Amino acid sequence: MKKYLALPLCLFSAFAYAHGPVRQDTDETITINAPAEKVWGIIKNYGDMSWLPPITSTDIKGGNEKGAIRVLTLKDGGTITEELKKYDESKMSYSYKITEMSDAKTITHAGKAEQVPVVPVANYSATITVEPQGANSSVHWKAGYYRAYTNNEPPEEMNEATANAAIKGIFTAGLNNLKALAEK
Amino acid sequence: MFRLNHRVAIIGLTLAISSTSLTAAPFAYISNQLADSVSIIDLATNKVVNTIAVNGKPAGVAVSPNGDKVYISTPEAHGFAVIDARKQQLLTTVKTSEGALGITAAPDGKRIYVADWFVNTVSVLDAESLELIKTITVGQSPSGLVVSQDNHWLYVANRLDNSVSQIDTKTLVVKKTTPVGQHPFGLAIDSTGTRVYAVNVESDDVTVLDTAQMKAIASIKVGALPYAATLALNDSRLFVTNMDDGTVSVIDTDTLTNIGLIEVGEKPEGIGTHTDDRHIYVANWFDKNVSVIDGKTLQTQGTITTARGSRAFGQFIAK
Repeated sequence: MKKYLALPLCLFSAFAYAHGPVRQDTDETITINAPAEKVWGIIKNYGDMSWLPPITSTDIKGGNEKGAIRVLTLKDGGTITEELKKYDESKMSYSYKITEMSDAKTITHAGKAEQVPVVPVANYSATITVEPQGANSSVHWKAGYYRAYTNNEPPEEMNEATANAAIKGIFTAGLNNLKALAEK
Repeated sequence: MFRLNHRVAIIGLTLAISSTSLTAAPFAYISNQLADSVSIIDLATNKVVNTIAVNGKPAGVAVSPNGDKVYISTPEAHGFAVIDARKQQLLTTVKTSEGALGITAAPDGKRIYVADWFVNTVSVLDAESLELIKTITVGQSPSGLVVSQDNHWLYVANRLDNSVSQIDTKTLVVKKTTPVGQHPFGLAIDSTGTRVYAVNVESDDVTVLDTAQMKAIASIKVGALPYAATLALNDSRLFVTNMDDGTVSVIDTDTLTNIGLIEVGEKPEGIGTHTDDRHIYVANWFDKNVSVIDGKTLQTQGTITTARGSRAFGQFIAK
């Protein structure tokens, strides 16, 4: 019975399939000349990602508690679904993971069609934390993930360098915008 | 034949000599995948005493039974590195295949087994000559490897096939393959070789296999994205890392129920038991450190700073 169940499951859990052998990380910190409470006030609602530049809208199921699901819509129409894994108001920190993404494009690699997700990563999870620094604050955003390509010898669109550049780009844009908003 | 016997005799001699000089405390070898290094922790002081550069994104760890050698799989260097544990130096590197990941050493110290994530094989190498003896085809994306203490059976978790294979180490042929949960990764085996525990990353549970029949006798729910497991206190407790929760689940192996949940760092991966059979070491990938747990009281006893991407997949503590 189990054997038969396993097959259809694999078809739509393709996102959580295998992964490359080396999990990657991106770890960015920014100093903001505004109190931690003010900065946390901008990002604390899990269902509000308006501070992140490429996001045009956020749909939220649930509030600021574990298990809440948000769907981020990007400028080009792509979507990213994320689940809240941990939320700690006192530490001004929350953790989440990507559970689903739409595809940005289809490429041909090694004679096979490969779907490239809107963010070229797999098994992505991240934590964002605001830390008071006297009257100012620092925001620390870190993520762990694998490249999007699950087999050996990835295409350029789905390799580690592309994954790292994409996450670093999002983090830098997000943190810079957060700083601008908080220092207004 | 003569040559073989001769070799065995030499190994025996080396064993005798090195075990007499082994008066120091045991060590833990933590692979830091993103730092391309291995941290050596002295388990008497719980301090890092040395860090060795190992290229190729070190992941899996195995220690020879006499503690002389440490084998570190290096997926991006397509093989493994051999560390001289006495001198704490990199000795040599060996090429095996495309995606070498899981690694283990036979209890008699004569063989090294390396699982390949991409080409679905287990490479069997002579531990002395470091030459390939055989390549065994197993299931898809083999990962965790353990060998029974009597050296008779090798077990491999076939991650994408949702199964565990039992391989006869005499014939190097797969004897039986048994379905487990979704995406088994780490394996643990008890000291009598009666049970194998498979940690299933996608179904968030542990499958308990009775090895005599190669049958699943239980499935125990743990936390989110479990990774690996270790036994302690006379095999009475099983400790399982839950990557997504930053916790370690504690299972009573008699009742096969959860009896504790311990907070550790972020993305806990490799887990191993001190030679005292009581203290548990957990590599926290995201925190660049190792948590120490008292397996009896289930209290954490602090952390040891290692380096970026601490993974320590396998049996990383020298007995």
